[in-house]
Amino acid sequence: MSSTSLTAPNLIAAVLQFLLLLFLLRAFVYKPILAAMQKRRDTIAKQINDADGLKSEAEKLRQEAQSLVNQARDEAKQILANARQESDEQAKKIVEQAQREASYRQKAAIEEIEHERDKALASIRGQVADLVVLATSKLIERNLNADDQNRYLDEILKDAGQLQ
Amino acid sequence: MNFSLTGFQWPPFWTGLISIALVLLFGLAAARRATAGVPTGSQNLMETAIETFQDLVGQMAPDALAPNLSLLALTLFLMLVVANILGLLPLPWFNGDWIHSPTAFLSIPAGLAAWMFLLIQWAGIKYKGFGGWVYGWVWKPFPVVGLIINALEQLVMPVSLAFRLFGNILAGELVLRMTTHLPHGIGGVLTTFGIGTLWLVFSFVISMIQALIFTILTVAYMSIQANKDH
Repeated sequence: MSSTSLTAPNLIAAVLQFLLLLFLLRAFVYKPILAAMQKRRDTIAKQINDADGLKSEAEKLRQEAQSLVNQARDEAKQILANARQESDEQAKKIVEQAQREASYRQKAAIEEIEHERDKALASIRGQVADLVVLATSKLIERNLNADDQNRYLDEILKDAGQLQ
Repeated sequence: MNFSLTGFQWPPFWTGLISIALVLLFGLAAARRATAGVPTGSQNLMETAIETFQDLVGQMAPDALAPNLSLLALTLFLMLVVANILGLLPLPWFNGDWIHSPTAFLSIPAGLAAWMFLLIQWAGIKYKGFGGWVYGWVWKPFPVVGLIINALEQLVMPVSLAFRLFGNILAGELVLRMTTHLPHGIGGVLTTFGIGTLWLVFSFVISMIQALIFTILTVAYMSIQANKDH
């Protein structure tokens, strides 16, 4: 037998060896490696999907935050406007009150002044009357009797009363 | 060339066993820590090999056949590469000779080619139906006469597969041994070293190419046979 001999048992043995190798490789090598490859493919696909989901969620959150910020800005503007209006009104009210008070006090002061003047005038008038009577009586003392004196005094007093 | 029903040659049997053991060791090393995470080292290599053959076979074979055929082709390729290269290694054999490739014995490529022939016919029956398979044998390209043409074509296929591989590997080994019988003396040593090294590199490449050719042709024949429109 040489290397060119065809020997039937060797033919069969070669096939059996090949089949044995195929069986062992399939069971212990290809299967776990193919499973690992498939799992990796699935993982990558899942990660890509997850990333897409996260991206859209992030976009949603961003829009939500944006709308919140806009809302807050509007609210702040509103509050500011309200406060400004309120303070304006308050200031107006304070000024009005102050004006009212001032005019009231002015009127009271004027009244008091007039009252004091009247009082002073009355007192001056009384004194003047007394002095006039005194002076007149000194001048005409000796010429008049008691009845005349009383009559003249009444006239004078009446005149003084009309002076007012 | 002679044919024997009972004779058995032990060297190709043992070297064949060594070949599949080496392939299996490499495969187990690759699968030992198979991870779905980032693959490293031998797992990377094995995954690349699997994907390469999936692509290669996927281009030719029908979709239903491709997944199994790609693994079969990869197994065949790995076994043949190791078997072909085994004969180039400086390992002594029991009979005083250097080690021979199992594929340098006609019986081994012939056995594999015969098995592939049977698989190819099985694929034809399975994917075209028995009627379609018979029709393909007998009625194409011409009725009845087609049988002669097809018989020639189909039978030449395994024979050419077997002899191509056997011839290339045996020739590689024989020429490599011849380079050790060049003239003695310093000139002989230099030519032996020079030519021997060159031939070793050449044979190394041939070993891989022949393994690939055997595998690709098997896949191609099977794909042709399994396609319904042939």
